[in-house]
Amino acid sequence: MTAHLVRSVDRRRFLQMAGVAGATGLLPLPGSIRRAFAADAAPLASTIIAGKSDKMIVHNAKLGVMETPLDLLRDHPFTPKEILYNRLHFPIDLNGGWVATTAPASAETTGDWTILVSGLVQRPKTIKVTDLEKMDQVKRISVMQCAGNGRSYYWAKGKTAGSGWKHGGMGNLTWEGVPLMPLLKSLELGPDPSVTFLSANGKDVPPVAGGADLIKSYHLSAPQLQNAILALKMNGEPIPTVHGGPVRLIIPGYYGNMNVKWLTDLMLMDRENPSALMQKTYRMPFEPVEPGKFTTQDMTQQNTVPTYGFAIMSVVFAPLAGQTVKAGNVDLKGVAWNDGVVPITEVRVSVDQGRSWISAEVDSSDGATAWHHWQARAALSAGAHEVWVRATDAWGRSQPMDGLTTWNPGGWNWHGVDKVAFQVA
Amino acid sequence: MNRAIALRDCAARVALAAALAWPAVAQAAGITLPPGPGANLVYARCQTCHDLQYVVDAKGLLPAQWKSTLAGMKDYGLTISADDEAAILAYLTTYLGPNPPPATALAPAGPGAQAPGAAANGRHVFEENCSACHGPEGAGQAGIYPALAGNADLAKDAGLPARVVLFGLAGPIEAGGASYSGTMPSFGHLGDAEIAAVVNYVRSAWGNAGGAGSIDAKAVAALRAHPLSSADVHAYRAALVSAN
Repeated sequence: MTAHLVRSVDRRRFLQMAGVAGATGLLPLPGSIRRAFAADAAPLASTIIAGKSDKMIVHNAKLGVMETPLDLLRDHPFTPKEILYNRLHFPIDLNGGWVATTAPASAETTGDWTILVSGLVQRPKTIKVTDLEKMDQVKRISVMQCAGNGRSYYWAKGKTAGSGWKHGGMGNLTWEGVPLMPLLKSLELGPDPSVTFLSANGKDVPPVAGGADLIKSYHLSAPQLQNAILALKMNGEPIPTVHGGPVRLIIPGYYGNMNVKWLTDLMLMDRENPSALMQKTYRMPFEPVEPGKFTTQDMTQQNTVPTYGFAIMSVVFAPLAGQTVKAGNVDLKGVAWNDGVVPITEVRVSVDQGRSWISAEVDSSDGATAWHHWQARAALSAGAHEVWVRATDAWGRSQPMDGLTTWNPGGWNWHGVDKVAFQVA
Repeated sequence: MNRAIALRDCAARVALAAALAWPAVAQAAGITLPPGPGANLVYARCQTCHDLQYVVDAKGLLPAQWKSTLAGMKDYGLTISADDEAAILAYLTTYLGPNPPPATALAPAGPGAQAPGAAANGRHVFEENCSACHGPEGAGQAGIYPALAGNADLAKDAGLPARVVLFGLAGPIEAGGASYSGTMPSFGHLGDAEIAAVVNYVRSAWGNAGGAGSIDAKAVAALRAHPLSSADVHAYRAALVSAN
């Protein structure tokens, strides 16, 4: 046992107290040892993932699941690592806790890291991260968002399993790395003509023998795949370990679970991976379903689609829910985003519960897969008000006026018109 | 994941565990479930993969949804007997379903649920609460959950396993020359007599030496009165083990 693992504890007093001969052990602990947290309090984010802000809302400590309060999220055009939401699929301690930090991977880890590219190919190849570092890098600005973001709003219709995300399971980030598709081509793998899917796997492993691994599969012809990169940097720095460093597959416009962290394997295949984490979760039914009538166990490849691209969405960053603002011309602000395949063409805002709408000014200067910052102004008198916001893209895709219409047993893809109540005084 | 990757992972994990610091607290503070038949199985079986926040957050799921959720856990790797599955499902649909019994109707929770000094069967407590991770014969699981059979640390001090059961243990450890990285959740919801019984059981089962002295419910209650974090238990263990 190495000494640095022992945290601010007086070992000698432990030994005195424990009775090193071994027989006692039942003495009370010395006063220097105090419980690190109250029994009923949620642990602070920084104690789960080193470097995270303690203002994060913790949803599941063991899996490092946490979201960003909107009053922090709205302050930064690019979401800093300290407040970026997080979600892991296997216990954070499983690999010795090495991922539980916003610090980058060590030089040794990065130096040793390899990605095996295999599958239905004649010549499997191995790529080193150190080789990727020497290749031409491209930059992508894209939203990262949990497919469960907004899940708690579905609960007005019917409970679902999973964390009660509000809107803070997302961020806007810059990524730098090596374009995926040209790299695959340059490797001269000799893929079989039947290859239609790419599968990706990371270093994280399930906590029980034989458990389902988090392996994700994508259609190679999907437009978003053409923009995918093997990312080495986030916001200009080596990717924070907890967010997938030293190398993460980034597919701009795709939900978070598709952007495999700690990438170790790429497989060219003729079908989706059979892992339960691909087949039994992170899937949306094609048709409207009712609580208890259609469950996650009813999901098949025929009646559901994986949570690939973001459903078009917009949220209000100002005013925030419950806030009080000054009467007069009230500034209304927020962000909108979609899957990046076609541009967002309009963001409309209503302050009379949808009876009339005004077009917001939209700044799309960071590109198709980034946050589109919208703003509008409305003259409001004192009293209770609501602002609603709704984005539409070039294909006419928009947000349901009632978000509950897409209720589904996993609580995925919430993208209802955002409706925020606030006070004017 | 193929064998080559598994081997590579294994080597990398050992190196990384040695190279990187551990966060101070790696698990949720005690989340308590509504008391009821089957609650102990939920504590014992569900925290291998996620903490109980997911379970309590899902309060209100319809019976068909709980059934589907539990089936999903089996898809993800949960292995469970039909009896235990039925007991867990009955608990979840009753106490965390859409119409749970009012709190006032529930039996008292935790240590008070069992009269002090009441006899408990250590083997039974072990099988119900510990065997999912540590194995029915105490063999553990390589790299994650340490073996209890043949584990010399158990003989050092009954206070060590008792504190591990009461407060959990977070942080990488070495036992019998092997490294383990799993987190042990607190089983403080068990009664004092149950904890004493299971500690005495694992210290003497499978040919274990037992060590000096057994522990009784009163002694467990005394330890419970001085709560530790699971990281503190890790430090306590490290100090105890390195002294020998």
